[in-house]
Amino acid sequence: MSLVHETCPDRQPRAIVFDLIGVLAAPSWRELCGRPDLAAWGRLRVGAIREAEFWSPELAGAYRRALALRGDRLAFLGRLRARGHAITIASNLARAWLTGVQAGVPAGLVERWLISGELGVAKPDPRFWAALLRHVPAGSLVVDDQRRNCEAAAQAGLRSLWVPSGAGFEDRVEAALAAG
Amino acid sequence: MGPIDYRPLLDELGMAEAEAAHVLAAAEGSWQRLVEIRRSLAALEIPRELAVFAVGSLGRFESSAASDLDFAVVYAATTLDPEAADAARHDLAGQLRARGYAVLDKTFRAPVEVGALLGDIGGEGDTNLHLTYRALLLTEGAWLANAAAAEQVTDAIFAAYAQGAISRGRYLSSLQNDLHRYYRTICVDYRFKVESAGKRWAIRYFKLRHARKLWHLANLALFCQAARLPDAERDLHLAVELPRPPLLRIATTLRALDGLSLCADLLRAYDGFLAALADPELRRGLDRIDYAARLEDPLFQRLSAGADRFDLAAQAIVQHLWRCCNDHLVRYGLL
Repeated sequence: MSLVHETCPDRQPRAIVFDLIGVLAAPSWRELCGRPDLAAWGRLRVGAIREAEFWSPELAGAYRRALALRGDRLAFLGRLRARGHAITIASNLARAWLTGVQAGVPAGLVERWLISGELGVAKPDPRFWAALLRHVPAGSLVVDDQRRNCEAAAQAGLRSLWVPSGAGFEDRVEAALAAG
Repeated sequence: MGPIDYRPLLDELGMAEAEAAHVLAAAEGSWQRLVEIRRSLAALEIPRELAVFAVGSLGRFESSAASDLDFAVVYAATTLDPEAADAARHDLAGQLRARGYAVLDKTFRAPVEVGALLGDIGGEGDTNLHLTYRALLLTEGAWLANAAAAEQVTDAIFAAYAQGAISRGRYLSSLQNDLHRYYRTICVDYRFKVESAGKRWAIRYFKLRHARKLWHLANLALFCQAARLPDAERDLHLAVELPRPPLLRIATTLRALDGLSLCADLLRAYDGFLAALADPELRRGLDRIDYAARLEDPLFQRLSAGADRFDLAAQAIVQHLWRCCNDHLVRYGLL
């Protein structure tokens, strides 16, 4: 049987929602900061401050150069897309970083981007999931490396898969899809 | 992984910060060094496919200003040719030396191809070098450049064991055995270094009695605890815990096994070791100790007494594991 389907395999949800940093891409901004300012991050990630108020131009440049998507994850997304799944990326991300990330994603791979810096609200806030649910059906699978995000997604009516490590990533996503 | 902070653990143990001042300082200093290197390397033109890691004391968050910098470069032949990887590694070493880091061209002097690390585990083509890369990247590999490529490499190493259809074992004993094998390898490597290669013996001796032993104990403890988890949770637990510093791996395990208080003496003893390694004059003093006269040497006596205290604390933890996880410890740790 071919792995390429016009539609999704039976009973599997069409939409899959992936977190970005820690799941598809690395590093986190924290990994370039001697003393990560979580309060300032709380403002930047919802667009309440500009990046210039968050860190220096040197750090902003260093992070843009460091931030990259994983080749193996993009390949996996490609296989999911070929099977008919619709890929959404839902991430707590500064608006200023989005363009650079999107430039590394093949055209047509990701159907929709929901970014906290554009929405004005961040995970795990219920309003973030409400915004997501305007674009994907309830019960869609959310893949995230933060446990509290997964718990909040589940409370909002989504299914969630917690992936705190890359170990067995593809098998775990496939198993979650098959269980859907 | 973000900054490492031992203060919550000290609070749990009822310890004052002064009792683990050097553990705290090494963790904080290591983080600042990692961040500084990452920022400076981000400005360079390094091929995106090249995974660059700190290993050794920096990767364990135990480094001081007196520590050498061990950095490992790994690439995939499918995305980068060996010459490009070699040239990039050469440039990186030069850049780091120019920034004042003591980069030594020892074990990690050349880039390694990821397929070579994984293609012959346990076979005739497997080498001490490949074993070293696998063990250290999994347990103390902190990325320095190209974080995404680095994550991909460490996931691939873990998967090489976890996806062994026949050999992995219910408790992922294939990985456990390779980590044990690495520990025994570095113990025997000490013999070669000091007997045949003329290297200084004392600092290696005390590293074996502290840092290497702590690393091994952390692995033993982690796998003992993991064996008690439901099968479906085990691999994930191991993959999350293995990259954490050994002291935190041991604390996580002992917390789950109702033995957390046993960490206190281990932390105190290890703090004394890190204090010694952070003192450049003391390191020079170690280099001067004559082996034949060591028992009369005050510095040797002092550090030996600390190593004995460390042994006692480690023995108490092993005895706890013996009580809680007897089957696993005997079957997979000893036999």
